[in-house]
Amino acid sequence: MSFPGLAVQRTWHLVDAANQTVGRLATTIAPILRGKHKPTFRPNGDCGDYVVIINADKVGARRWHVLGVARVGSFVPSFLPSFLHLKIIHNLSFPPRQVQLTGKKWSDKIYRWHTGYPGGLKQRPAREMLERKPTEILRKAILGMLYRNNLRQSYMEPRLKIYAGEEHPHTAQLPRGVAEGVMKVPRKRVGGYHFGLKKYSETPFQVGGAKGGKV
Amino acid sequence: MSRFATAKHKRVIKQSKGFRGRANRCYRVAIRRLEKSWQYAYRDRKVKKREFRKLWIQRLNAGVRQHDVSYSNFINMQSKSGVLLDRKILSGLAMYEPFSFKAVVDVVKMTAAAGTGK
Repeated sequence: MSFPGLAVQRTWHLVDAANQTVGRLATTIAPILRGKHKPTFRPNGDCGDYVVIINADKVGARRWHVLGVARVGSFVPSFLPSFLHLKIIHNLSFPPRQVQLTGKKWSDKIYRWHTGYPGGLKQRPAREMLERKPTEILRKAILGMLYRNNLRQSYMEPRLKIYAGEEHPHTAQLPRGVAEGVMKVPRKRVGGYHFGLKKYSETPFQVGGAKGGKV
Repeated sequence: MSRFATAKHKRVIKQSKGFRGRANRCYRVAIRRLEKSWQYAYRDRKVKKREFRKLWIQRLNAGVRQHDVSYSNFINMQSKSGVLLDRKILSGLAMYEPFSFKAVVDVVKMTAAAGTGK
């Protein structure tokens, strides 16, 4: 494992996990830990950034209620009594609750691990994981998306800081005036990181005399 | 051991510096590992070209996303724009010459916008 000869600049990113889907959030964070958002990316040297995630226990909730499950696009008759609380995707605005796992994953997604002793297969559904160790849901999701190499355990893992509440001890390291929150549309992965060049990309490009088009 | 055999062995062992275990010391183990290393070298001379192109593309992707475009769209626009720089040069620009890179990206975007505007 070689270390970059030039000094690697690492920045700190602050991410607010409230109301975000677990997997989609992890997809945007894992490349940051690895450094793939930088043009100076090196696969053999550790060049990622720090990521501080807050509100990991409030990762958004689209929770299917126990009483009724309405699938996407299904017809919900309007005469249903209101206490049934049928939740339909795309229609309602939910009271923000926790990290989001779509479908029935809160009850059906099971985290399994083996302690090494015979008969030591343990498992825990996602709902329970949220109660006991809420940060682990996001941590497992993100680390599972990282390369399984030597860089991961010693370098990338320590650079991921997840906190369940709003507070985090890294105000000294975070850049001043950092706007909280990751991109609200997780799939949109362009244009998020400008490293100081943003003010230049806003100015239209002038071609000597000719009218420059808007870039 | 005749002196010719010793010379031959020495030549082989000299080539196997840095090998693991007894392969860097003992002729019999070294010659096997050496032949394997020659096979890897032959294969990897061809793989090296692929690996570097992969790296250029990854870097280009990152660099170009800083300017609000994705790699796929950028390459599409670039192939139509008349910018003849290849991925190796472009990724080098993205790494070390950010303003020149931005200029290239702007030219590409402009020609694309002009092309679709017509």
